[in-house]
Amino acid sequence: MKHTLSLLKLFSYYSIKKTLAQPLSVFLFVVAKIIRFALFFFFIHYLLSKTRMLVGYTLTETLLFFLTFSLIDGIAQLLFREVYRFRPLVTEGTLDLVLTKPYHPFLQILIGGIDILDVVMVCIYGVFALYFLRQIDSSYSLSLVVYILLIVNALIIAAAAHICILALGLISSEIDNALSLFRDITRLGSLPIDIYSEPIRTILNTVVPVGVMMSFPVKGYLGLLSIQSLVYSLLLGTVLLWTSLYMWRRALVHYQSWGG
Amino acid sequence: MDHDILVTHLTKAYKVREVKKGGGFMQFFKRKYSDHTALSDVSFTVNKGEVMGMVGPNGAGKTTTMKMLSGILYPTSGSIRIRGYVPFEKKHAFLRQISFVMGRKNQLIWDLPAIDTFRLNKEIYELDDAVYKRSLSTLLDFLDAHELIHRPVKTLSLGQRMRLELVAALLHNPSILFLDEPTLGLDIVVHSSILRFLQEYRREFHPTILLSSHDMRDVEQLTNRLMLVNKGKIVYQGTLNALVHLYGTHKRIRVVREKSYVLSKKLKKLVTTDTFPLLELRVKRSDLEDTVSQLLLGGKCTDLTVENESIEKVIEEVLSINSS
Repeated sequence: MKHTLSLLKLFSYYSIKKTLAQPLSVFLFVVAKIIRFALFFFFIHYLLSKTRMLVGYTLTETLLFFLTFSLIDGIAQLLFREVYRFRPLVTEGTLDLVLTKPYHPFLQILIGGIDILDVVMVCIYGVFALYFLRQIDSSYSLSLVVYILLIVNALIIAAAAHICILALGLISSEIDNALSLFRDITRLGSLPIDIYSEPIRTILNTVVPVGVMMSFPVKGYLGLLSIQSLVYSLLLGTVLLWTSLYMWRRALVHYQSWGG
Repeated sequence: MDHDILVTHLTKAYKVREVKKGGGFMQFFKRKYSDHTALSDVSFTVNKGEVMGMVGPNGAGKTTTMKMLSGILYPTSGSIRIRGYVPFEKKHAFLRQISFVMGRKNQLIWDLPAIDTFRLNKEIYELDDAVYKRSLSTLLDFLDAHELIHRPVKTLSLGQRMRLELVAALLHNPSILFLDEPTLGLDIVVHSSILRFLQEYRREFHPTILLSSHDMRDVEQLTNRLMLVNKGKIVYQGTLNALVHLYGTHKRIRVVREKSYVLSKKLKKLVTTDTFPLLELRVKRSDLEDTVSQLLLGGKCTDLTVENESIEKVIEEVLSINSS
C-alpha cells in the first residue's frame, strides 16, 4: 500500500509539473470553467426566481443538486483525467511499456494524471455546496454522513464507467466518443432527476444510473431516500465496479497491441 | 541446462476485420472477421545468460513472440514459462525481473527531463538510494549520457533518447531483457555505440536476452544463438556459424586487378560487381578451387580474397527456400 501511495504521489507530482509548464493553458482552462459554472448557476437562479419551485424543490435545494453534480463531476475529472489521454497510449503502442511494469496499470492510466486545475474548481464547488448545505435544515442527524457516503458511491460508479471506457479503448482504441457520451449522459443529472417523466426517470436510476450518482446524495441529505433505495445504490455501485473490473480483465485477454 | 525461457507449442492468432472492396455501407452492419495466425506452434528455449537473436522479415512474428513473452499479449494456445512464471499473469515478482526495450517507443516522460523517469523507475522497482545511484552512474558512464538527463526528453535527438531509454530500462538490473529492434533508425555512430554498450553490459551483468533486429551487425555481435522466423514459424534454430555452414552454398571472391587483366567468358557469368579495379564473383562452394585457378590465369591481380556470403544473403536464401 505504501508503495502504491508513493507511486501515486509521484505520478500526480509529474502530472502537475507537466500542467504548470503551460501557463497560458492553465489560465484559459480555469477562466472557461469558472464562466461555465457561473452561467449555469445564474441560469438556475433566474429560472427559479420566476417559478419559485422546480418539481417541488426550492431554489436552495435545486442549487444544491447542481452543486453536488458539479462536485462529483469535478472530482471524477480530477481523479480520472488520465483516461482522456489513454487513446494515444494505445495507438502509439506505449501502453505496452506500462503493462510490463510491476504495478497495477490503473495507477497510471486511470488515476495517474491528477489535474491540479480541477482541484481549484472542486474547491470552489465544495465551498458553495457547504454553504447551501448549511442553508437547508435537514430532518435527521445522519444526513451529512449519508450525503458523503452517496457521493463516494457516485465516485465508485464514475470509476466503473471510466474503467469500462478503458476496456473499450483497449480493444477498439475508441475513447473520445465514449467519454463524450458518458459526460453528456451525466450532465442530465445537473438538475434533480425528478424533472424527467417516466420511463426516462427509471432508466436514469437503473440502466444509466445518473440519478443514483447525481441526485441520490441530495435526496439522501433531504431525507427523501428510503433505506431500500440507499441499499440499492450501494449495491449498484459495487456490482458496477466488479463488472467493470471483469471487463478490463477480458479486454486484456483480447488486446491485440496494434499500436505503433 | 538451466532454461530461463521455455516456450512450447505457442500460437497466436489475431482477429482481423475483413474489409471487402466495394462493400460500402452494408459492411458497417455485416462485419466479418477472420483469424490471422501471427505465430504457429512455436517451441524454443533460451538458457540462462544466453543471448538469442530473432531474425525474420516484417510480419514474421518476432514482436508478437516478445509481447507474449513479456505478458503483454495473451497466447491463443501453447505455454510460456519464464523462470517458472506465466507472463500473462503479470505477477509483480516476474515483472521486476524483466525489461522491454522497443525501438522508437518511449517510456521516458516526453515533457520532462529523463531524470524524472529514472526517479519514477526507482520507486516502481523499489530501489535503495545507494543501489539507484550506483546503477544510474554506471549506466550513464557506459552510455556517456550524464549531460543529457536534465534536458526535457522532447528536446533530445532519437539517438540521445535511445541511450536514455536504455538507462531507464536497465536501472533495476533486469535478469531478462527483451530488445525489439533497439537500433532501429539510429545513425551509424550511435548504432555502434549502443552495440558496444550492449556488449559491455552483457559481459558485466550476464542477463538473458532475446533480441530482434533487422540489422545483422546486431545479431552477429551480440547473440550466441539465432532463431530464424518466417510466416509465424521457426525455420532455423542454432548458431550463426552453423547457419552459414548449412545454407551458405556460395562463396564470394573479391579480386583487385590490374588494367591488363582479362576475364574468361565462363567466369564473366559469375560476376556480381565489376567496377575497376574491383571485381566480385559469386561461386558455388564446390567450384571454388577451379574458379580461383582460372581467375589467376587471367592476368595480374594485386589482391584476391575469398569470403563467406554475407549473413543477409544466407538468411535471404533460407527464407526463399522456406517460402517456396
